[in-house]
Amino acid sequence: MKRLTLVHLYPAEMNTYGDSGNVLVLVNRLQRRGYTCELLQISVGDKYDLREADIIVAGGGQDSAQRIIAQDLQARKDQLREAAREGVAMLAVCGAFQLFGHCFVTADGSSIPGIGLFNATTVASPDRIVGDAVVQSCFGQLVGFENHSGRTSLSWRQKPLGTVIRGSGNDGYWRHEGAIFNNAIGTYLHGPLLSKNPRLADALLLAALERKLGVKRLEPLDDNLESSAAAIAATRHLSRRERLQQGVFGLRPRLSA
Amino acid sequence: MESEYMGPTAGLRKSDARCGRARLSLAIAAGKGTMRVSRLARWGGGTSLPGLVAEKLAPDVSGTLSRELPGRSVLITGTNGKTTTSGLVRNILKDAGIKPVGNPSGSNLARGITSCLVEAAGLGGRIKAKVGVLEVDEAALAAVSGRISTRAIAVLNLFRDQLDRHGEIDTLARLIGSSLENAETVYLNSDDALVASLFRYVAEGTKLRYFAVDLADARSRHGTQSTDSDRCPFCGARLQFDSTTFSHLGDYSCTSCAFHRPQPQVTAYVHGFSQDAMTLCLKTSDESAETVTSLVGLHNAYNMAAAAAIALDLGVPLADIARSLAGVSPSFGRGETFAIDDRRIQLFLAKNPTSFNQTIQTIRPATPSPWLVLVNDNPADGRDVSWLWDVGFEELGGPGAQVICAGTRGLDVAVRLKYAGIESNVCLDIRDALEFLLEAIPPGETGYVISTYTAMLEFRRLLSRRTRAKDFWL
Repeated sequence: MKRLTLVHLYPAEMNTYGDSGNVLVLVNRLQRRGYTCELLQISVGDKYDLREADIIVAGGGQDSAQRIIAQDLQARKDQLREAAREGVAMLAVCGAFQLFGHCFVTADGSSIPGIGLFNATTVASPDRIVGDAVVQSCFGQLVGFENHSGRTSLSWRQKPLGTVIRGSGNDGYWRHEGAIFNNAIGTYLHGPLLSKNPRLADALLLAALERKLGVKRLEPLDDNLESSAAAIAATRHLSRRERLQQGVFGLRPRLSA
Repeated sequence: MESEYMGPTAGLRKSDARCGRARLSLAIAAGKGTMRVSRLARWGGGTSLPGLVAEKLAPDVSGTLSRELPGRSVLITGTNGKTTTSGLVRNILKDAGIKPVGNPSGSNLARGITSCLVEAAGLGGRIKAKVGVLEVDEAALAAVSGRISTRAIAVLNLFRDQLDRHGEIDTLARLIGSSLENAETVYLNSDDALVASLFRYVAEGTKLRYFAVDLADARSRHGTQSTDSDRCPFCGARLQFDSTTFSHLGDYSCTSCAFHRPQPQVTAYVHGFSQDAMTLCLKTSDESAETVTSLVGLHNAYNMAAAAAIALDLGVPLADIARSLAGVSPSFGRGETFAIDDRRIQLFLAKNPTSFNQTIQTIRPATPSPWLVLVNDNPADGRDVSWLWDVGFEELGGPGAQVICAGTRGLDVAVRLKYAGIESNVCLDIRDALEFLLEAIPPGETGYVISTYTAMLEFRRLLSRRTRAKDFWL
């Protein structure tokens, strides 16, 4: 049976920056390859064992939303950590990334406990990190938009998702971006991330398919549009001329019949 | 030594006339000059640079000029509908014989407001208008209301918008709340829980007025896309909605504490609307008036309710307000139609998921007409375009429609549309986009354009060259 279970955690509370687009991208790319996908939206209080999921996606939210979900997340702590150890594919963006660490100290000084899936802690800062970011990772170059006030520090044992080439990253100092543990990825990149980084989307899908169905290889899809959009975002700070010198032309206009 | 400015402000305290007369006149002259040059050179409408120049020369120029207005100023803020609402209020006042001053181009940061005051002032620093009706950016409200002599502040709604500049919506609400003490009257949308909760910031002795929209017949379904605040602003529990108009606006009450929708003083009852007309009834506690307007959409019903509430307090009778509302046409880039030869192009400004979704609802009955989406990521648009994924483009899908994407982030739109199952053409140049759109529109038909702010300005300039339509400053 070619079927995966995709869980979208807290879709109502944690969706401030269009991160639900990540779910759309994953489902779409599965369907185009002939797999079926059961999409479950799990909110505060819903009964579900997260160890049964194949892919778990969670997005960013405001401080107030993070407080609302924090308690519910604690109840799912052991399930999530066990799932990550077993290699379930996960993508935690921004607010979810913060709560997948040990704790998040908000602007008013109170601490929201996390689940410690990543060995990281976050402290709020008065100024926001905002802008396009380019990250070199083991999935190739990732492009996204950073927009966060939290500063996340990784433990020396925690592997980051990648190194910042342009932008600020987790704390604007160490040039680390995100965190990775088995197939669980935490990151600050919006965009939504997977819409501009199809390779990362496919890596998550492949991890899930391999674990569930033993699939070794994914059929490639036409990603010209996605790569062009990523190239534009990555070179947005350059002038038109510099962009041409780097070979980023964008697409030629065309009009279908 | 500077001569003390003793003109029309002679009755005020000395400290109020902080600008010397010579310096003020110089600032106004320089501002007006900059405006003239920028318009002649076609840099744009000259809506923000003149303010910058004038402020450099006389830092308190906006404050001094605003004290010239005998009726002082009404500041209108909120995520969506600022331009339309302030335009409506100015229209009503004009019809009632009260001369208003305002910023109709939508340039609503501190500098834009200085520019419009400089434009309205004479070289001596006098303004002929009676009252200022100014739209103010949510994040600029604190600075503007502190500087400008403020009569009232109206908060229309708070949706998610330009998160890179504003940060989180709760923080923004706090920021707006802190500036409400500068006004004597505060108008709040009672259907928007977060806006209505701002009453906690209103000082004692300040007049507090609520406005709302009611649907006369069938209530809209609950749970449309992008519900931004369905949590109680006081205790964080889930809000229960008896009915909603759109997005998170509706009749709510908290499931845990005593917070509920406050009783509005002015209500717009919408009886029904088609694609080009809307019938509504404005009601206060003791009177009511019917009107039929060409501004359609529930978002405009809110704008009209707010405008009516403001105009009532400025002494305009309700019947006159209703008459003025019947005569308005869409403002700058908010549903304007341009005719090029025998084709029509209708231009909609959309800055965030909510206004995009509202526009999509408006143009959906016209599918499969060709449509163009323009998205820029300049600072005035918001540099983050992730919100495109919260827009329900899926509703515009279907066979046959020509779809074009353009703007600095046109490719992002194309990717979004691809995942919505809509095939589109991408133009990197906005001029090509216009040509392609015109080619795609069959003769005698209409094409639709949904655009972010700076792209709209650029596209409108192209259109007005083609149609020789007037720019807003001519």
